[in-house]
Amino acid sequence: MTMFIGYGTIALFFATVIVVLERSKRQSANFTDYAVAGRAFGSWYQTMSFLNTWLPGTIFISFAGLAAGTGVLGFYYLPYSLLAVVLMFFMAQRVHDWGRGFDLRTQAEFLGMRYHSRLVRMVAALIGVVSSFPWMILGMQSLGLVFSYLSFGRISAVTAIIIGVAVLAARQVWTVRMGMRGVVISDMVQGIVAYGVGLCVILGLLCGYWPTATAWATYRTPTSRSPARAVSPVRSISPRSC
Amino acid sequence: MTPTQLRSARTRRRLLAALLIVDGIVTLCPPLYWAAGSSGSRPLTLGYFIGGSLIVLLSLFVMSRIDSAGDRGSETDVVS
Repeated sequence: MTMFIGYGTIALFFATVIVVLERSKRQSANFTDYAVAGRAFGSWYQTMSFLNTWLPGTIFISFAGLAAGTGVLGFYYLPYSLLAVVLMFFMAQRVHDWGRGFDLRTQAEFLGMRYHSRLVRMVAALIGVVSSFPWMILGMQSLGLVFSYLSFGRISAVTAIIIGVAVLAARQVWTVRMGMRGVVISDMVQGIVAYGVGLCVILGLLCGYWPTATAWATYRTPTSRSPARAVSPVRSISPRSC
Repeated sequence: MTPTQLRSARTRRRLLAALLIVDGIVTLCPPLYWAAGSSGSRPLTLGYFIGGSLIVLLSLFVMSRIDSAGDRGSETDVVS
């Protein structure tokens, strides 16, 4: 039952994203429309896109894990990420103006034009491809962990990674079909679910309004396949404490 | 700082640069990390991360206001 709830929630979210994508589908008129969504999305969409690129993978999983291992200093990434937003404040207008003015679609195109160099353009493209590999591998591992934990210990880590990669591959069908427009719209849906619904779920769990104690008590770790002995923090907090 | 003063491009550039430096020091200065991490005081450690993030966030709003004041100033110049 718990596995059904875990995987069912993912399936429901996935179905929601697909329905929204299909309903908002529009044929790309040209490559600019496909690669940069026709530069038609406003600041809300861009903010959500940035947040959902950085927060879920890096802060919620990697750096939360780092903080768990090394202490609260592992959260240095939070203010550091905000500094990236400050730098974007100084760069965004120029990048947007140049992009629109010269019909630039990629970072490599932008840098190649800025330095009048085909070599710079190729190196930038190469760095973009190579640097994405660690993120991709970490993303797959994280996804594997998510699917493993959502199965409540019934699926091995390797199988969970395979399921995660399969879901990721299935998701790419819409990315390839809809281009950047699909990515931005699904980021918005993801953001609403993560920060809206997710916040309500977290508050509900913290306040003990949902009967999660049974599920947590039968929780099994993915590796040991034995009932966890640790007492769930959910059960240790009473509703009155909120 | 009055709106008239903010219309000066030089003043705006200086203010934005100062805010950028403050943000850089708050977020990237290792001694601050070490002090916050090795103090043994939880409020200080958490205060550093939450306070540092808030400072950067607030600075973004201030930067945006400064930028908007500059845009309004240039529009007024064009009209007059």
